[in-house]
Amino acid sequence: MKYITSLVFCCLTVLSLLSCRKYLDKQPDASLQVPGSVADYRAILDQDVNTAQCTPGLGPMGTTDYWVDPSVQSGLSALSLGASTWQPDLYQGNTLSSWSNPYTAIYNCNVVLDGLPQLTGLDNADKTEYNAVYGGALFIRALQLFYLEETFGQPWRPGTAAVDAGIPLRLSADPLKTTPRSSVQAVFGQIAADLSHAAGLLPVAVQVSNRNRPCRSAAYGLLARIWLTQQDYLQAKRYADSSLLLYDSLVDYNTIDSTTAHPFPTAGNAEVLFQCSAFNYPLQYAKTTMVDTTLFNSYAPDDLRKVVFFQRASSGSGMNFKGDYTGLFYLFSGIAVDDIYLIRAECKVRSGDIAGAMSDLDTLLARRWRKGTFRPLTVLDPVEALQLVLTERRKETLFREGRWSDLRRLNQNPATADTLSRVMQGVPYTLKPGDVHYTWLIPMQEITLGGITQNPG
Amino acid sequence: MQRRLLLSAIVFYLACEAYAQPATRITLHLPRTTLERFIDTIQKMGRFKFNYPENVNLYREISIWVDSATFRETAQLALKDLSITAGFFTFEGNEVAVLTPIPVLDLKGRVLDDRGQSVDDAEVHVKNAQVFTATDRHGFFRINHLPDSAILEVSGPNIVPLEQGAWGRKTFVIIVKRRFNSLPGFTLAYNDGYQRIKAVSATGSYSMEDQADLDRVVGRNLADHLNGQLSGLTPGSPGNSLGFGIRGHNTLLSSGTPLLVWDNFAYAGRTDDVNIYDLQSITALKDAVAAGVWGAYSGNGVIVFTSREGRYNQKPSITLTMNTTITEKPNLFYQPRMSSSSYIAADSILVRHDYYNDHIHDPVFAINPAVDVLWKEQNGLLTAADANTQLLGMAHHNILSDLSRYYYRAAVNQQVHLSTEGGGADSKYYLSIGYDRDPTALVRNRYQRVTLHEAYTVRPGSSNLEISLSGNLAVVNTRDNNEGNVPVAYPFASLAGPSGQPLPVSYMYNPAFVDTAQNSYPLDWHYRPLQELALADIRRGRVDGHLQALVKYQLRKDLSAEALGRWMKGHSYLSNLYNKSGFFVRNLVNTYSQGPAGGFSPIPDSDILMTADTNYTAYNLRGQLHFHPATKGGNQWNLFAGAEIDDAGAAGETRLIYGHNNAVGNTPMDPQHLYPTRPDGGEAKIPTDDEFLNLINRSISVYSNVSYNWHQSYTFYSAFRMDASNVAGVPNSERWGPFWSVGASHNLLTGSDRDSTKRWGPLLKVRASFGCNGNTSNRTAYLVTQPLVDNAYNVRQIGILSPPDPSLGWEKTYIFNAGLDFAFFRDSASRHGRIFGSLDLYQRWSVNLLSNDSLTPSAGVTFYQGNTAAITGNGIDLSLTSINTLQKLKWTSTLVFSVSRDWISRYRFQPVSPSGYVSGEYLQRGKPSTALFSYQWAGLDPLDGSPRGYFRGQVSKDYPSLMSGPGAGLSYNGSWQPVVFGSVLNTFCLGRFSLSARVLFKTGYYFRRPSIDYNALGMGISPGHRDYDRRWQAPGDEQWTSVPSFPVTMDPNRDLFYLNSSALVTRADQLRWQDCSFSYEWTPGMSAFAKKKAAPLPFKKAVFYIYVNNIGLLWKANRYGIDPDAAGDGDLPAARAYSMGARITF
Repeated sequence: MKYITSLVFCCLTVLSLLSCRKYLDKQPDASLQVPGSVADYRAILDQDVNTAQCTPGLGPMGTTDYWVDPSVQSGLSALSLGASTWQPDLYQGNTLSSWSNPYTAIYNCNVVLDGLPQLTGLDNADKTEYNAVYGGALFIRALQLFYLEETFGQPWRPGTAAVDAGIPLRLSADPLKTTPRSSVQAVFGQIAADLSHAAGLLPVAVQVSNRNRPCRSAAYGLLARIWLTQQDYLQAKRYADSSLLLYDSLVDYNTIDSTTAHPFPTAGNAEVLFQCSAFNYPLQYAKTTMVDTTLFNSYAPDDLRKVVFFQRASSGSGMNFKGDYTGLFYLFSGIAVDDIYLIRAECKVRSGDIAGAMSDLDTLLARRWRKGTFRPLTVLDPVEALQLVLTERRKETLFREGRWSDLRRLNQNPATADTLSRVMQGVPYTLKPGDVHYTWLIPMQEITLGGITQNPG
Repeated sequence: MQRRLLLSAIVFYLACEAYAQPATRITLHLPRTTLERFIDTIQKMGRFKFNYPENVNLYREISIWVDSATFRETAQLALKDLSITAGFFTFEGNEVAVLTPIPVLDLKGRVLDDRGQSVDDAEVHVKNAQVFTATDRHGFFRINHLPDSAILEVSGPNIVPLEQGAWGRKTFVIIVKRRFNSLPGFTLAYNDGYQRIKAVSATGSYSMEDQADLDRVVGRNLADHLNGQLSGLTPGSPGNSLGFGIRGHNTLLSSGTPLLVWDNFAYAGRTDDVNIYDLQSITALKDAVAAGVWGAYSGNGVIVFTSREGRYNQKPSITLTMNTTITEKPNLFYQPRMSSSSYIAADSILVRHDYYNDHIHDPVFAINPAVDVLWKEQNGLLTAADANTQLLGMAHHNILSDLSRYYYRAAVNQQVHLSTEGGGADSKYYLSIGYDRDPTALVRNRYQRVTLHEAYTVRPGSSNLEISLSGNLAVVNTRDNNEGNVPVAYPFASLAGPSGQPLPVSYMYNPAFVDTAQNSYPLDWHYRPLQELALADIRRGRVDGHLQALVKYQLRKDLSAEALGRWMKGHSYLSNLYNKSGFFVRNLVNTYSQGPAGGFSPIPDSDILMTADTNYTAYNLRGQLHFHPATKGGNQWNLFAGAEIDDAGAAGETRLIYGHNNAVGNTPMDPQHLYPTRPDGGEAKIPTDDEFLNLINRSISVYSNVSYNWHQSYTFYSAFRMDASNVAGVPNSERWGPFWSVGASHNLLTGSDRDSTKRWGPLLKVRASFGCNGNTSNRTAYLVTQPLVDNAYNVRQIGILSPPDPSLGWEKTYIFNAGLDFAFFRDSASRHGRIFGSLDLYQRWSVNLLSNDSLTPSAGVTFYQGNTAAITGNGIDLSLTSINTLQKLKWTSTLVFSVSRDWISRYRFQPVSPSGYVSGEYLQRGKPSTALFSYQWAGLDPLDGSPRGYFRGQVSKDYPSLMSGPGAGLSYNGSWQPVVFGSVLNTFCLGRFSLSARVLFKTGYYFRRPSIDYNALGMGISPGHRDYDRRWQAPGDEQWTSVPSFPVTMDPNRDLFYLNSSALVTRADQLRWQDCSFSYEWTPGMSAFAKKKAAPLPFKKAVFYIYVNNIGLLWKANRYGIDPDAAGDGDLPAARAYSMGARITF
């Protein structure tokens, strides 16, 4: 009897320990929600912070597509002044949203990418949505990594990409995992691989009602952009083709009401494959920030962009930019069809297909010029054709996040290089081709806490 | 021997011849006889023969009662209790028993008092030998290998010492006399919630209050009974609901409250539900060995409440305790507020500087009447004479007088407690009912409590099985209608008119607007504090109960099994009925009124009811085995193992019901609709307060400990425990937190010696322990999300509230404790010495502490808490009792003295600006966890009296930089919690009178004293501070004052800098006369006088007492008249309380 009692007692103890895993899995607080379905992960991915004002936006500060009204130059913040005049020591101590915001989006994507595979008991309908969400997370992560690389990582230089320092590749949702900087080659490799994977999962159709959600042509479009940046024009053309094959609608600017403050819609722009905006530094949308006068003057009078993109500043001394594809005053950093046309045109020129390039430009510009005024282009000289394509590229994609990336690529070749210069508070500043300041400094906090190496500067 | 046997055989043979019918079965009834007579009687029966050597003591007393037994059975029974063995054989038809005396025996005894109650706290020594033991809870003790002739000495704190010879008996009962009016005790056993630990062999650090200590203090609150009375108990941190911590701070973000254990299980309920009179002791478990039995929950130490449960073999008794406490009316004028005239003077400066020009016609700015008058005078709407008259009237009024008159009173609090206890051989019980009624010092408030407590234990028939069932029920209800304050800052507000009618004050809205609002709003918009007080109907209450069952079964002599369970259930509620005539309803109706004058309002003009209900249930189940194998050569093993499973859940909801008590019935509101609001013209939704709560905490623990005692001299202890809960650690492998401890103790001097002159030599025990305790937080390791409003495309989005933390673990505290228990000058009158106590030194390392942390920005997580911080600490606990005189007057002094220091040894988060340290939000490595930081003070500017600090070593007035710039001067002032603290208790006993007083001391800490905040004054949200009168007014004033001048333009940063500067950091050291108790104890028969009385008194004992609590400060380090315990803005010192009562035992 005594032994039976103790035996039963021991068995009960062992049994209770065995079943404790399930017992202890109970949520401690019902008001805390632990994602448990594809829809939950979709909602995590659908957060505005993943696509709105989240790409770095620091690059555009370094372009000379704008100038600052002299009357407000003395009142600029250290960050605005430092970024616009390539003096990195003026902002390096700050916690830089340009660095942390994209990584927050990457973190959200990683939560989705880590969490989705752990779901069980999915039916077929779930599976389709699963693919869209998984592919979406891969796409958004790739997009953020690309812009981070193009801001804080060394530019892709064909000879040294394998050894140049890129950015930390955060590929896991564990916030404690320290991540060193990967090489530029590794960063691009990861982005390309993720996008190829995403392209297979994403829905083919453009998500017309919700352009925050990427589609397959957006993934191809971004791939084209990636390969363009890596100066592999063959690959870039291939992906641009793929993208345009799936979707090639362009907006005829004749249908745009140029008189409104923001001529393009926030949600329904037919040219946008994927909607995304850059971090909003006030300098980029301030009424005292004027479009470069030469650039503005380069638009032909019949070019509708002259009225759709610009309006006279209230101070009267220059033009403000208002043609953001975000439909608000934030800079566009998503994927749009016009950009894909221009990528393909550039690739065609570089591979000798001048006629093809001109045809792409014609298709685009016909929808930019006043109805019936545009004459098809007839350039045959490859050098002239390239110059034309690049000029059109600048005129079409000014005040977008991608412009900085173009500068980093083009200044590597003396033929397309340019020295940027700006006068601020009476002091002239210049950024020569190949300058180390084409790569921005990483915030000090990341350097000290993450133990990674800083960029030269 | 052989010859004698042969001779016997012959004699026996002859005897057989004589008796024709020799008996083979024996029937013998001899209740009290000697061995000699027994042998004689049996031998006379024939055929039976005893054979024994000469040294067998034939005069031992035995009892024999057999019917028809064999010779062998009879002889064995007779020798049962004697140190004699017997061998049996048959010789020539005779049965022969050969007796051999045993030189030593194993003795089993029991100590009972003269009333038949078992004495569980007695020590049993073997005279002239280094052997001693203590009785268990039933009075039993056991000594092995005891010499036949040994003499036992029995002693204990509450009994008269006694010597008794063992006289060769194997079992016997020792009856001792109880000693009344006992002296402060030397504790013999501590209850840690799992088992009783004998003090003589304890290796851990404990401190304990027994029933006498608990009875001395009159107070419902547990805090009154803990304050300064247990060594190692320190003032708690702000987040500590108990108000006391054990040995300082071991955590940063988790709760610092010690684990409360009520009898056997952790108690998460309100301490208010524990009636102190139902407790027999409170024990603090302080180090790794003592507290470590509670594993993951012991990081902050453990406090164990042990309830009364009755005793076996105790005559029934009934005890009635009654007392009444009168608490003085609080002195509101203690608050260093600005006088009305100063306040008006300040207003006039502000009006002169056009400060109120923007606000004077603003309907949502509550302008005060003096400003109104001053502004009118300045703008020519009032003559200077009229204005002066009005202002003079205001200057003579102080709102504190009104508050004191209409809001406060002296409180008369009553406590009644009736209990009965007793027990037979098989059962014991305790039953009580308590009633508390406290009207509190605030008018219209009330507190009532009824408690029921029950404990019943039974060990049917055999003592192998013991079953006990205990329960507690507390019903508390309160009225919280009076907050003791009014939401009006200006000091000249008048609350009542000449006939006591409620007067309106300026609150929320401009009085000029409110006066005209009648015309365009449905309801009156005045705010009358006294009307609000009269209409308030806020009730709180709860019903809490638990039932606990324990089954203990002695499987074998050395193995027992226990199963325990507890079920707890409770309901708490809050109901706030906003009367439709009250401001809350009128304000809502008016704010949401639509359309022109008196138009429609979606809020019904009827009462609004806010209710909050919470239900909670907890289950605990525990099984444990206790193995204590038989001793061999003075060694004792003790093995203990068990497992426990806990489940606690709480569910609740909060509701706001519109249209309550309305003829139409409750009116549901549309919580989504946006209404234009008045008079500010914004848009708002109708507030709905519906909230839900659903919490579940589960945990599983397994534990074991082993102790080994060698000759009562060395004790070695080790324990291991594993805890898991549904909170920490996602992967199951990391859920289990291991906690362990080891300890050893050694009795250097045990006191008793072969030489009787040294018998009362000093007792000295050294002990050391080391181990790891844990602390839990409510942080979860799961990925937690929260719903956000729909995104830009109108689809659902959810944000990540806290990232998953797979590495989230238990916070751990490693403690090394070295202790010394001592007793000197022992003699027969004071068995435990004239001076005794214990001294503990400890060093602790709290690691893996949750703290705010900054991850690399690329982690993508902006706010992160991780197990990244560590605190190191050390300290001293001393408890020392000295019996100063022991003649007619007994004078005893007890000192409780503690030192507790700590510093942050690991902390990754470093804020950029000093304000993070000054606000206390962030900590600095190398400084205490309770560090007080302030901005460096550079005195007042001699030119304009502005406060100044240091920026990059230079005197500066750039306040934003001084507070948040990286080069700003920061001062570390010290700890805001006392480093050294304790108390001295002196007790004088003279016959039946006893007088005692306790003095508390706290030193080595600082506080930030409040001062004038000009910006808050101008905004009308602060009543101002008396320092205003000491402000800088002219150059040269900076020589004698540090109060800044009245600013030309309001700058909140200027005030913020000054209020947090080192100019206001003040030493908090204090000496406080806490309490005083006077009692008279009457025990019939205690004196010769009582014996002469013919009529017997109806009670056994009666104690009458007078007690005064919160007597006051004896000394304080600051010269500002501030009681350091009431240094915060608006704090009032604890009011003195006079109690009178009686405790009568029938």
